[in-house]
Amino acid sequence: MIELLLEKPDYVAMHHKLAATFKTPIKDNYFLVPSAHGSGWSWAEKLSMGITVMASDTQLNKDFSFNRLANIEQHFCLQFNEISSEKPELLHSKINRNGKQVIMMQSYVMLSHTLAPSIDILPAGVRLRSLKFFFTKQQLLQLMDANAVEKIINNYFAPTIIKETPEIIDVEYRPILDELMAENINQPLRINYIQNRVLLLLEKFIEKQLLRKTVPVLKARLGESEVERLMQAESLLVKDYSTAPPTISKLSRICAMSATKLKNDFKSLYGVPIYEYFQKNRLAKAKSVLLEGNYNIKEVGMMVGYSNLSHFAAAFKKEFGVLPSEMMARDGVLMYAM
Amino acid sequence: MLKIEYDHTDYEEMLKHMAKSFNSKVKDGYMYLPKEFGEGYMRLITLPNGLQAMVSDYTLHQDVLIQRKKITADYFTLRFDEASTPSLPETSTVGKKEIKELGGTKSAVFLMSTKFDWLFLTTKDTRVKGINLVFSREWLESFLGVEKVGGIIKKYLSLKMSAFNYEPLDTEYKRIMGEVINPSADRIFETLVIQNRIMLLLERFFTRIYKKMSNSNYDVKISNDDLERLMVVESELVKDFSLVPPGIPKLARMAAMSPSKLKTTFREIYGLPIYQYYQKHRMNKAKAMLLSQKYNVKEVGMEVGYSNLSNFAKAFKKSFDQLPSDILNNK
Repeated sequence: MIELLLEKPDYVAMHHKLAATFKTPIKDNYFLVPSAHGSGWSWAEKLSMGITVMASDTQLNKDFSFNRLANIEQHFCLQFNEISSEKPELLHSKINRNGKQVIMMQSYVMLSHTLAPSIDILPAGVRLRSLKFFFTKQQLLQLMDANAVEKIINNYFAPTIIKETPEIIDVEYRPILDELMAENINQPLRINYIQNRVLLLLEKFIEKQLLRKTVPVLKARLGESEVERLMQAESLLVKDYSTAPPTISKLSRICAMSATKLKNDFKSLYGVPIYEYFQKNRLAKAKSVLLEGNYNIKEVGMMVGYSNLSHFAAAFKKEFGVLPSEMMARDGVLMYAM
Repeated sequence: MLKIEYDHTDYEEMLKHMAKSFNSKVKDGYMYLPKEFGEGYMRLITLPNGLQAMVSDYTLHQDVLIQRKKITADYFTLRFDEASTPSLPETSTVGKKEIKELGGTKSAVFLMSTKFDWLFLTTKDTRVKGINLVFSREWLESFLGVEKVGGIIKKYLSLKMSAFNYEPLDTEYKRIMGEVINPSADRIFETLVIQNRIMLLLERFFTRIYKKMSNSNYDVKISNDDLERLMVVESELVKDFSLVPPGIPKLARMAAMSPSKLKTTFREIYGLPIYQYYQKHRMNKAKAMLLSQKYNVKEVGMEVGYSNLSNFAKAFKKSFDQLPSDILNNK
C-alpha cells in the first residue's frame, strides 16, 4: 500500500506531494498519473479567497491511503466522491491496516473537519472521481454575515460532522460538478470560474442542511447498502448522455432489486422518478454546453442523445421555459444618452 | 418630469440622495417609491466581499430622467437593466390606417466608466428591473489580476470609451438576475446566495468580453501603437458634430493605416463601423442636449450638423424610436 501523509489542510500542497509520489511532473497545477501507477489525472488550485480545491479522476494499481493529521486550527473539508469499478466486489472489500479494519472510500458528499485526523483508503483497481476543498470560518465570513456563520457552523455543520452523515450526489450538485470535474477547465476567467462553482456547491450543501432540519428525513427506511446500490444506479444513469440510458431492467439487475423496488426507492432518495432524473440532468448538461457558445443547437442536441431536433427543443422548453434558440438575447437594446 | 442627477461612487450615499429626490426614506437598505412617483423599490446590498450592488424593481407613474455626472475618479459601474413598457393604444395614425405601437422589453448590459456622463430617461408606466454594481479600477484590476488573461482585458479597458460590451441581456443573464431580485433562499444565508449570483454575473460579463476580443484576434493583430492611433481617430471623429466628419482617407492618413485596416481594426475595438459609431455618438449628444431642455429642436439639429430638420428627425427616430419633439414635449 502507498501511503500519503497530508500535514496541512492544503490541497495544492497535497497535489504536489501526490505528483512527487508518482514521480510525475506538474504543469499548470495539473498532472497525469503515470502508467506505472495507474491512470487518470488530477488538478488543484488555490482560489482568490484562499480556498484550496482539488479535482481528480484516477484508478491506481496499488491500494492507496490518504492520511491527514489533525490540525489545531479548524478547517472544514467538503468532498464529493464517486467510486466505480469493473469488478463490483472491489467496492465492498475491507482492508486490514495495522490489524484494524478500515472502511474504504464510498460515493458521497461529506463534510468533515480537521480537528480530528482522518484516513481514507482507495483500493487498487477502483476508479475514483473526486472534488474536494478546504475552507475556514474566516472564509465563510467573507460570504455571509457573522450571525449566519455562527448559526450554520453550530446548528448545521457540527451535528453533520459528528454523525458523519454522508449525503448523496443529486441533481442539484450534478450540473455544477460536471462543469468542475473536467480534465482541463478552459475558461478565460479560470480562477473565478472555479471559485464561483465551488461556492455554489457550498451554497447547495448549506441549503440542504437547512432543509434537512425542517423536513423530516424520509430516507431512514433505506438501508446503507441499498443507498449505495441506488447511488451506483444514479451514476450509471448520468455517465453518458449520447447513448441510450440503461433500461430499468438493466439497472434493477445491477442494483439487485426488483424493478418496482428500484423505482420506488430511487424516487424517495432522489425526489424524482428515474427517467425524469435522467432527463433533468441531460437537459442541464445541454444548457451548460449551449451557454459555452462553442457548439450549435444541433450539435448540443446530439451530444445529449437527441437525433430529432424538435424533440430536443420541446424537451428543453419544458424544462427551462424557453427554446434553445431563445437562450440568445432577443430584446431590443435599451438606449441611453451618453 | 423628475430629473435626478448624481455622481456618487458610494451606493449608500447615492440611495440616500435618490430617497431625497423622491421624497422618500431609506429603511433597512430599501427605498420605496412614494405613490406619486411610482411603485417598487431600490435596494442597497453591501456584500461581505466589499462590493456594493443596487437592486431595483419599480414601475414609474411619471417620466424620470436619471443622470450620472462624470467625475475624475476612476470608477466603473456594471449595469444590468431591463425596461418593459406596456403596449400603448393607438398612438399615431398614418392615412386611414391606425398603427398600434407595440410595447416591449428592452434591455442592456454594459460596463461604464464614471469619467463619462450618462443619462437614462424612463417614461411613465415603464417597469424597470436592474442590478448595478460599482467598483474602482483597483478593485477591477485585482479581480482580473488572478487570471492569466487579466492583462489583456485590462489593456482593453484602458481605452477611452464610455461603455464596454454594450449588448441586450440574454436568458441566462435574466435568470441569474431573477435569483438576485427575488431570492428564494432562507434569509439566514441570503447574502451568500446573492453574492454567488453577483460574482457569476461578473464572471459571465468578463468572459464574454474576452471571447469577443479573441474572436477578432484582438490581441494578435493590433499593436499598442495602432491602438493609440485609433484612439486619436476616435477623438477626432466625435470632436465636433457641427462640421462634416473627416472622410475615411483622411482618418486613414491620421492613423497611418490603409483604409481597409482602419475600418477593420476600428470595428474590432469600438464595436461598430466608423460611420455608425459616429452617428451613435452624434444622436446621443442630440438626445442629451434635448433632455437638458435648454435648446429647441432646430438648435440641436444644427449643433449636430443637420441643416435639414426633417433628416435630423428621421435619424433621431431611427436611433431612439422617438422624435426629437417628443423629448421636449415630455416636460
